[in-house]
Amino acid sequence: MNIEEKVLSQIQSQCIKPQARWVFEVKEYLMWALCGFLFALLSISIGIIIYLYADTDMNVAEDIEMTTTDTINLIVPFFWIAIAVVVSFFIYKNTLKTRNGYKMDTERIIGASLLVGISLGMLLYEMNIAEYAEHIAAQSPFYDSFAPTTKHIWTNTESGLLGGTITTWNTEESFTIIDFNNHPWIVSGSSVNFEEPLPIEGDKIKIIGRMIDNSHFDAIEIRNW
Amino acid sequence: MADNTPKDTQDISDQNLVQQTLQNSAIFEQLIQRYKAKLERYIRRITHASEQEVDIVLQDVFIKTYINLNGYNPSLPFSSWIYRIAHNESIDYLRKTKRKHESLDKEDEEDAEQFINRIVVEDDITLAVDKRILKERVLRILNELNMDHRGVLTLRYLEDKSYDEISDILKKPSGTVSTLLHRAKQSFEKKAAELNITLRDL
Repeated sequence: MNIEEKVLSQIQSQCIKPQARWVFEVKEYLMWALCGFLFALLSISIGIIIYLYADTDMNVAEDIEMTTTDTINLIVPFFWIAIAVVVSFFIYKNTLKTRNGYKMDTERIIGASLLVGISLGMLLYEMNIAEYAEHIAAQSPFYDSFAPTTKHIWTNTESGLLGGTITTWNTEESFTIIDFNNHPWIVSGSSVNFEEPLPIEGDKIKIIGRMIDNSHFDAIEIRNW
Repeated sequence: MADNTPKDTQDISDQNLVQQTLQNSAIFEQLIQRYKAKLERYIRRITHASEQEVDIVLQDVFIKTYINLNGYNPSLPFSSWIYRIAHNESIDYLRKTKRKHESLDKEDEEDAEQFINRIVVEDDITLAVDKRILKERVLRILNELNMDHRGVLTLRYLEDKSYDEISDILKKPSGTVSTLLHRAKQSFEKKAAELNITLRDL
């Protein structure tokens, strides 16, 4: 039996049929949908990188002594850079799996991804979506472990810097927060400069002001975390 | 099934045969006839499997081709597409069997001859060497290369594929194919130098 006969007889005996065209089309669409999702993730990551870089607390950090590591951690959002790199890698791998993706050079795929990612990231930053996304991510209990923040800067109460989570609003001009060492503080201030949106119970905030005693703090400016 | 097969399909393009096969599976015989010799030779070159094993791999290649006919992208030469399937099946076969080629048969000798004519320069030392020994050495070097290097050298110098065709078969950009071929030749050259065989400047 020659190869033609073997193949055709196998096709007949096992009732083998060509896979339907829509299966291949769905696979291709799914591949591009995944690419779209990854591009969205890359853009958000880059938007957050821009936001974190633009929103560093360098102005207040200048007043206190910081180690080089702290300064680098403050300026460079390593976690989100790592996310952007990993996502770019998956975009590259995924693009290669699309119908004609393998014809594109690595540099072109990575370059185009970064160009689109940076453009959309800047747009998301300008629209405050990056900031919102970062706040959502920060709600995760694991976020602090992966994305070193500047919490320790905001435990310098003697230098006038306090950070923590609002537990209760006591009056219109006073609330209680738990700092990052689980120490409660009553914060008050009559003409406090608030950053929009106004924080509510459960929100993490940064306060610039003056320590009155071990459990009281006078606020001058309040920023959202 | 054979009764439905048109007798003269020589002038019909591969793309048309694919379309016709989707309407009538018997037409697939024509595609098999067009490619069986080329693919059988390619699979043997890559895997160095026995005739029976090559037959099994080849059968799998055609079955896989048939199942995926609707996924064939007509902007790509059908030849490159079916070679890609054959290449992947050959790699699968090698992974499963981890086969090492040891003996030199007649077809291997022909391949070695072709390879020598294309890229090997026999210098004074190797001229003195018996031709058969030289062929054995060339094949031994080829077999010692990794799959990527052996594959790209086989496609370029034994299958006479263009860079674009190799790009389509290996699913790699043309630039990468060029680099891969360069590295494959370097690997070959390094091993060849140990046996006093020099390469042409291709």
